[in-house]
Parts: sequence; C-alpha cells; structure tokens
Amino acid sequence: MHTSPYPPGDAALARDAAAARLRRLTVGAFAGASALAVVFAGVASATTHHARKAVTVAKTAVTVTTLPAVNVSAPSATPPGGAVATAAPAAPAQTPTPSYSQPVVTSGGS
Amino acid sequence: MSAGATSFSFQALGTTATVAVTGPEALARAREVLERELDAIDVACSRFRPDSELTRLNAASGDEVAVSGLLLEAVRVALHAAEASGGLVDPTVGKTMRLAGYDRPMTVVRARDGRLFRPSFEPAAGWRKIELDEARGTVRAPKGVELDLGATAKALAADRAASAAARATGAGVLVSLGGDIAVAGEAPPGGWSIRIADDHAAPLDGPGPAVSVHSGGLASSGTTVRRWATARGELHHIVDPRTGRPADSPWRTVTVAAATCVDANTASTAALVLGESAPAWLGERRLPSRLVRLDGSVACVGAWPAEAA
Repeated sequence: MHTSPYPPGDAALARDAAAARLRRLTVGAFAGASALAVVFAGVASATTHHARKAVTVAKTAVTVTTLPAVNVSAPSATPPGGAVATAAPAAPAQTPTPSYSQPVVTSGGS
Repeated sequence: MSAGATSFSFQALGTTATVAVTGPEALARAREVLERELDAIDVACSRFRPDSELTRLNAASGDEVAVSGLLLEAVRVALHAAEASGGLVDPTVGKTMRLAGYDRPMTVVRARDGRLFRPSFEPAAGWRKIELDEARGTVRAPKGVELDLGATAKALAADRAASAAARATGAGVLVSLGGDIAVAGEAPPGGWSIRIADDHAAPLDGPGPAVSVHSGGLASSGTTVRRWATARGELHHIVDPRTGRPADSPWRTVTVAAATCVDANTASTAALVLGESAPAWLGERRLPSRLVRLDGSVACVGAWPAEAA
C-alpha cells in the first residue's frame, strides 16, 4: 500500500528538492561564518593596534615620571631644620681659658 | 693641680670616676655623694645589668613601663639631646650596639675572641618613637626598639653629682666620669685646670693643652679608646644613628665646653657623627670646641683657646 502524500514519481523530485535546500543552507551558513570571521579578525587587528599605542604612551609616561627621581639628592648630614635646632646645646657662661697650672683631671675619649 | 684642690679617683660605670673639691675637708663627703649617684644611675640606666630598669624597659616588647624618677629624667635628657642634635645623638641605637657586639661591659667584650663574632648593623629606630609620660611616670618603647642611654646618662650623672656634692659640702666640686666633666660651686682661683687628650686615662703631665674651666661642663668624645675586635675588623662606639654603624668621621677626638656636661657631651658626640661640617655646626651654637683630625691636626672653634701650630 502506498502511504506517501506524493505520487510515486513525485517522491524522488521532492527528495531532490529537499537536498538542494539543505546544500543552499549549508553554503549560506558557511559564507556567513566566513564573513563573521573576517569581521572579527578586523576588529581584533584594530584592537591590537590600539594596545600597542597604549604601551608606547605608557612607556613615555614612565620615562617622564622617572627623570625627576634621578635628581633626588641624598639625605643631608645637616640636622633637620638647616641651621640651629630649637633645643640646641647651650653655650657655657664662661669660656675656657688657657691654663698653666697642674691639671686636676684629663678629658678625653673613654 | 688647681690651687687648693684635692681629688680622689676610682673605677665606676666601666670607666674612671674622679671627684675633686676646693677644700680637702669636703672630699670624703663629696666622694660619698658621687658614689651614691653612680650606684643609682647604674641601677636605673645600665644596659648590661639584668636587674636594671633600662633592661626591663628594653624587654617590655612595646608595653608601657612605670619607671623611677631617675630613669624618667635620664630618658627625658636623652630625648632632649636627640632633639638638640637633630637626631645625631639618638638613644634608640641600643639594638645596633648589641648587634655590633657591644652587648656586655667593655672589659668582657674585649676579653672574648672578636674574630669569631660577626657584627651586623641596623639604623636607629628613631627617638621620636619613644613615648614618655611625665605625669604618669611611664616610658614606652615600640617592640624591637632598644634604648642605649650610655653617653647622656654618664654626663647626667656628672652634672647631678657635682651639684649635689657642692650643695652637701659647700665647696667647689669637679666630677669627671671618663673625661666627661661637670663643675659646681665656687671654682678654685684660676678655675679648674683640665688636660685635653685623646684618652681620658692619659697622665696629667702628658702632652696636650690644658684649659681652665669655671662653670658648666666639658666633654670629650673619641673613636680611639672604646674599640673592640670583630670578624669585620675593629669597631668603635660612636654610632651614626642614620646607618647604625660606627661613625666614619674625619675626627678622632672632639672636646666641647657647654653650660652643662650633658650639653657638652651631646655636642661632642654629634660633632663626631656630623663629620666635616662639625666646626660650622659647633660655631653656629657658640660652643667653644677643639677637634682633632685623624692625622692629629687640630681645629679650634669659637672661643676655645688657640694653640701654637
């Protein structure tokens, strides 16, 4: 008993038509994927190019900010404040004078 | 000797202590006062005694410690010296002193084989980190910070003992602790005659100029006496707080006259650490000073008596 909606001669035609649609769909999908690949490759290329520019800029910035650091001077041996500190050792009321008598003691390192 | 003066010397605080008075009848009492003062300062400020207050403070790991009036005064004086010297004399050099091998009395340090000891150094933590509460009588040093009051405490003891002995005896008194000298009361006619040398133990009739002092203090700091051997060569005890190492100074001995022995000691130690700019630093402060270079040449600053070339 024949159950297909198509007459026996038309069934082969319907199968061929379906196969042709499938091929067109496959080719279309492939073409679309290829086009997207090209688009993404372009985007990626453009993005990479900008990144290189950023690196260059960053390097320039580092150079600029590093230069002053080379000129930082070493810590000074002079006490902070430059001149006389606020709490300086106090001078004697009477300055030492030459002595010609026998000393009572010696001052020196210990 | 200074006219009419009589004196007595003994060993204390790892150095020579001398007391001189203008009248022989005052000597025994003045000596008693000095010995009591030295005992008190040793118990309070010794870095080497396990039972001293300073040892307890250094071991407190950052905790606040209640201290005696004497240690409170010694820390206050040390912090004042640090401020007055712009940090060139800093009490927080205790740790680097210990790491460098100066962790016992100098007689003990010298007795061991220094060639086997490898020293290390650490910059001072900084005197501003020490918290002193006058009202509560407490001191706090951050964890890991160790105080060394050596220089200023000795000078403080000289100032205190000279004043106390003069009050107790009514005589003029000179106290010398390892060449750091304080005078109080009425000086003998012509003043107290003091020989200046590299070593305080040099004979009184040895080479070197003599000066006369009527009041205040006179102190010498030097790099030639207190030295010890290590695997990295010989070291001395005048530490540059900025590096934690023995100061690399063009001077071997600096002597300064000032209003007190503490001030004189602060300035002479600071000058050694400061190096070439020390004469200008001392001159700005009007401190009569004598500086001896490593080659023995002498520079006199301010009103210090000139010497024949």
